[in-house]
Order: sequence, then C-alpha cells, then structure tokens
Amino acid sequence: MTVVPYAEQFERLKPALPGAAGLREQAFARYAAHGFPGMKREAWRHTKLTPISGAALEPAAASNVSPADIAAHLIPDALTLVFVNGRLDRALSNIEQAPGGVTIESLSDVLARGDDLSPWLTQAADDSPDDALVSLNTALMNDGAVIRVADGIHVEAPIHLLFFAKREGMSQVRNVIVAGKGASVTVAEGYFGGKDAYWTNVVNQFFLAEGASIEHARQQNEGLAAYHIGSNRVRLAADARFNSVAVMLGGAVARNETRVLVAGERAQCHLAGVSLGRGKQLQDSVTVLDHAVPGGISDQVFKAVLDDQSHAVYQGKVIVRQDAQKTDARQANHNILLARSAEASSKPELEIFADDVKCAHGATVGELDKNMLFYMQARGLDPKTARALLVEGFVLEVLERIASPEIRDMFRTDIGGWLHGRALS
Amino acid sequence: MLEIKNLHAAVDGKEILKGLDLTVKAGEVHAIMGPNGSGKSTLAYVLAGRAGYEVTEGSVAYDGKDLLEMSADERARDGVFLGFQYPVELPGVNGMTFLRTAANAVRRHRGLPELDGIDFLKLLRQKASLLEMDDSLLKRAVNVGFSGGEKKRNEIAQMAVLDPTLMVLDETDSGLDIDALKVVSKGINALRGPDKATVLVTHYQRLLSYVEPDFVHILARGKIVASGGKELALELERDGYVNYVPEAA
Repeated sequence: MTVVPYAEQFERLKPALPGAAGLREQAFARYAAHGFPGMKREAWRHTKLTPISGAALEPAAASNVSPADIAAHLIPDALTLVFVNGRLDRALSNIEQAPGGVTIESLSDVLARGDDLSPWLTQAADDSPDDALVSLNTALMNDGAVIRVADGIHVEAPIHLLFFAKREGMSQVRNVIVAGKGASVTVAEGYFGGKDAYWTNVVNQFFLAEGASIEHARQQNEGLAAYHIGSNRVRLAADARFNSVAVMLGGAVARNETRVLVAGERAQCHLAGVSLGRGKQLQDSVTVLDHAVPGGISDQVFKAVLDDQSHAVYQGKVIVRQDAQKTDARQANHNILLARSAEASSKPELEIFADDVKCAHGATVGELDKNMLFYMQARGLDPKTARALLVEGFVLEVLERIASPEIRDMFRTDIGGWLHGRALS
Repeated sequence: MLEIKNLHAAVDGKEILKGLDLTVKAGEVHAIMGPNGSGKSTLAYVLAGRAGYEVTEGSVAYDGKDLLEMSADERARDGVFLGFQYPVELPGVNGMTFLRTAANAVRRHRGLPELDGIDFLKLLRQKASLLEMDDSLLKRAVNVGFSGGEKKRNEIAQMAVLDPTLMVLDETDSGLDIDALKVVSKGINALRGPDKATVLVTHYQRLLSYVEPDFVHILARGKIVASGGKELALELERDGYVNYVPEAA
C-alpha cells in the first residue's frame, strides 16, 4: 500500500491526542485503506481536495480570539462554546451554566478521562471510501462538544458551537449530540476564519431517541481560502424530529454532507440549505436520506445563489427500503445564477424498494424571473433593488424554517451583508 | 395627460397594435373594450414599458414627456400604474417590505420625505381597510397563495399607496365575484380625481356599472374602431362585438 497523506502526522501526533487510542488506530486503518476520496467517487466528483490531500497539513497552532472578535456572532442567552483552531476556549464559553438534565462537555475532556464514546463514535463511518475523511477525523479528533440531554428535558437556551480559525493548519472537530426520549434542544454551529488557507474537518453526530426533537442551524462563513468538510450523521428513533438549516457562504472548497437514518417509525427529517457563491468557490451539499422503517417523512430544500465563476452542487439521495411503506420523501433544489459563468449541478437520486410511498423531487437552475422583475419595476423599484429583493426573498424563504427568531435574524444579517456586497445590477 | 398617436407595436416580430390613437385628459376615465386578441393587454404593457413589447412606429406623450423614452420603473415613479391582469407572485418577498420600498422610491422621485416603518404601516392600514383587505395578507410574501380576488385587491391596495397619476388597469375585473368587484370598484373610484386619469382595459361591461367611464373605445385588430360614451358599453353587452369585428359573429 502506498503511504496515504496524514500517515506520518498520525504516528507523530497520536501520543498527544486525547484518549480512545484503540479507536483511533482502527479508524486510521479504515481511512488508510482508501485515502482521500478522489474525484472518481461519484459523491465527491466536484470536491477537489488536492490542496489538503497533496501536502498534509499540521494541526493549527493554539491561538485565541478576543471577546470583541466574537461579539457579532453570539446568539443572545445561548449556552455558548467557543473553539479557536479547534480547541475549546473555556474563558469565552459558558457551558457551566447548562441547566439540569443537560451536560455539555469538551470532547477532549471526555476522552481524556477515559469515557468510552465508541458506541457512538463508531457509527459515523463504514468501510466505504466515501467515509474516509470521517474515519480520518475519528483518528485525529482533537476536541469538540459532547452534549447530552436527558429524557424529557426541553432545553430553552440554544446551544451554540462557535469555531474560529486563526492562521494555517487543520482542525479535526468532533461533536456528539444525544437527545433522550422526548427531549428537545436547539444546536447551532458557526464557522469563521481569516484569510489563511486552513482546513476544518468536522463531524457532527446527532442521536435522537424516541420522540426527541433537535433544531439544527449551521452557519459556515469560513475564510475564502479555507477548506471546509462538514459531515453530519443523524439517527432518528420513532417519532423523532430533526430540522436543519445550513447556510454556506465561506470556503474555497466547502462541503456539507448530511446522512440521515430514519430508524424509527414516523420520524421526521427536514433538511434545508442555502449556498451563496462568488469568486471561484465550490459549495457542495450532499444528503443521504435512508428510510428504513414505515411512515417516515423527509423533506429537503436546497437553494443556491451563484455569482462570478462559483459552483454549487446538490446531490440528494433518498433510499426507501422495502419495509419503509408510507414514506413521504420530497426534495427540491433551486439555483439562481447571477452570472453566466457561474454553475449549478443538481443530482437527485432515488432508490425506492417499497411500493406504497410518496417521493417527489424537483430542480431548477435559472436567472431571475423576468416577470417578477417587471412586476417590481412596474411598482417603481429600480432593477438593482428589484433583483436584490428577489434574491433575498429566494433565500429568506429557506430561513423561515429556522424556529429560533434570534438565529434566523443572525443568518439574515449574514446573508444581507453578502447580497449587498454583490453587484446585483 | 396621455396622448397616443399612431401607435404600432410588435411582440416577437408580430405586429399587434396597428396605428392606435387615444387622448386621455386629466380627470377622465376611459374604457378600452375589445375581443380577445385585439391588443388590449399589449396596449397596457406598452404603456407600462414591458421589455419585449417593441414600439415600431408612433408616439406616446405623458404629461408632455416622451413616455417611450422612460424605463418601466421610471414610468412607475413618475405616476404611471399598471394593474396587472395576472398579478405576479414574489416568493419570499415580504409584502410590507416590497410596498414600502416602492412607496419610498415614488416619494423620493416626488421630492417627499421617505416613510419610516410606523408611518408606512399607518398609511397601509388605512388603504387596506378601504379595500376590506385582511392585514395579514400584506405581511405575507407578495401574492403568494392569494386567491384571484385577493390578488386583485392587493393590486388596488398597492395603487392606493403609490397614489399614481395615470392608472392603467388591465382586466382588473376578471376573476372577481360580485362582492369583490364592488370593493375593488370602490377602491378605484376613491382614486379618481381632477388631476388623475384612468384607462380601464376590460372585456366585459360589468366593471363599468361600478366605475363609470367618460369614454368607451372599442379596440379591434390593433386599432380603435369606435368611440363613444358609456352607452357604447351597454350596446356591446347587448350585441357583442359583431358590429365592429365581423369575425366575432
């Protein structure tokens, strides 16, 4: 076997990594069997990774941010965890304020004290080459959040995971969120960084017990030279509900992959995404909805607004297994191109083995609708304002799915800033 | 206020208007009636400045200005309002935001101070109540999920807020039940005034029972073929277009 990237780093770094030594070795072996997923892999066809696979990056050095740096990104009254270069900054976090029934801990702490998280951690990846970077994350994970919500607990305050990247290097972040029976919680993630070329490899695992509900909101606003690989794994027990909205603005190459296993009957999964692309950005949204049992509901709406030579990809796979009768699965992907040189790729995939199901998908790629623009001009709006309102409307529709008004407002501000910086005339 | 001379206009290279003349003075209401395909909506779109409606000959003067030299949004800010036959849905665009942006664009053009959120809301409530319109409609995305009647009421509410000088209403009566027709007509009548003018484009006479026109014109094959008072509309209601458009028989 040829030496895979990061083999030398792993050997050198592993003695200092927190806990889970055996698990790390196994995961590295899984990763090493395939190496980086190449562009020949269908699910990775557009995600060009050579800058991070060609020359292995070192872990980003410890760094810090000031309260002023983060102020604009905070959600009022949230339980906040601030990570800088992939490490928890305790001074800027307030996890000790977690209410009863909720534990919020640093992954590094949990692993270092020898807790066995492997029953959860091992569920993130299988032997597929498509999962190699998740396995690499398991091998190299350095920190992250472990959030446990006890049965029946409703957590009022959103839990906010904020990640800041300063300077070059990689961050291998792992978050594990476990919601007990009938529990409900809001988890928001935010990613921000400077101009340096760096890599964030983050894996989120969400486990929802019977009747649990998680509101998930993701704000990816990394620096424009950054690589961001986000892998979400969601497991839904019966009657559980997962509602996720992901906004992608940053990164040179950014990916947000969400795989959901509908393992319990009548579970619901709502996935939404907004990509805003400019320059030569690539923004890849990948979903796999696996309906294994009857009566599940999934709906997906992914939208992109693309300027310059940016490229957005939506690959959405829905699997309805033979037992999963009465499944209702929908997906929609809509793209607006602000420039002729921008590109959108849309690839819905349906694998249906049950006969009594509803599955619908639709995709559009286009410029702004001329009828709409004329209607707005006929009310006195100049073309630039009309375009800006239409584009804003196009993406705000997705934000309506965010339950928390504070998070919605924060995302709206981010998107508004992007739109106003664009030449929409 | 509006002087159309020998107007020829084509869509996709096909001539629809073939030498139309029409003069509308301030304070007047003109009804343009005609069978389907006679060019009624084309006239409305040409006046509003829609792309793709190419004027090949003739002139349109609005308040002494060359209307055809103005962009669609300039015309709107300058007081030309087109009420759409099929109002367009704007997904995700909040009705209040949309209309306040439009109202302030018009106000800036007129040299008036912009309205803040509170003053705008007051104005909007006042206009909406005239149209017996549910407030909640205005808080939703523009026209999205509205019934046909709600869309038409919304057109007139927008018109009331923007306070235009020349109102061109394209088949505003289509798709309205009798109660909605009465309310919409009341809204149109409330905007009549000595310094304003209205062009009602309609297929049927029934709107004209509620919004009484000063002049009725029959448009056929791209030209005005007859003009008269409101009695002409009643004649059309009785006899149809057969006396003016032989093929309508």
